Amino acid sequence: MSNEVFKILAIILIGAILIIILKTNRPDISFVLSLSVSVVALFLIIKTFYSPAKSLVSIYKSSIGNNSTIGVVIKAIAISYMAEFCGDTCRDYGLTALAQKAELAGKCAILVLSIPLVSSILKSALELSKL
Amino acid sequence: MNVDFIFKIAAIGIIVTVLNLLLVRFGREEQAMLTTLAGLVVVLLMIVKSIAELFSEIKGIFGL
Repeated sequence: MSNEVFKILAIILIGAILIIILKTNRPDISFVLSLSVSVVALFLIIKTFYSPAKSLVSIYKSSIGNNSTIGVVIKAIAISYMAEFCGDTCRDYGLTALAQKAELAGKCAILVLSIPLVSSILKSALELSKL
Repeated sequence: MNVDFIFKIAAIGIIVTVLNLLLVRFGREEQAMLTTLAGLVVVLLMIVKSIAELFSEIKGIFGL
């Protein structure tokens, strides 16, 4: 496990050196290079940590029993990671407005995703208030 | 897995920079700009496929 982590860190450092070399002369290709380093690092992280995380999620599912809540949490984690990936890449190159739009899109998606949970909480609160 | 395309993109960037400098030095500004554009398009074509692959993989893993 730790060997893979050091491999990912080495790839990120080499990518950072290449990006800084290209940044003064070719900022456009440097942007694409930073995007590609991010994509490769995410792929390697997925490949390394997929099976341990899957076993953890299966432990959660067997202990809680109600599968819908942990599913919503996992989907929210995925959406927020992707929004943060997009926003950070934009913010690195000074595009703060686009980064904020990416994060806003992620927040809206998570809000829509959590509507069933909120409505079930409100429904049970209403039933409690009738008693 | 696909680590080598980082180095491909960096090499394309360095080659395009050198070609751009040479063409500007020889007074061919239009061809220098076209070289820059061609390098950018090649690099974008390389990255777009892998971004789509990443997003579909994440969708598949997290069950979105």
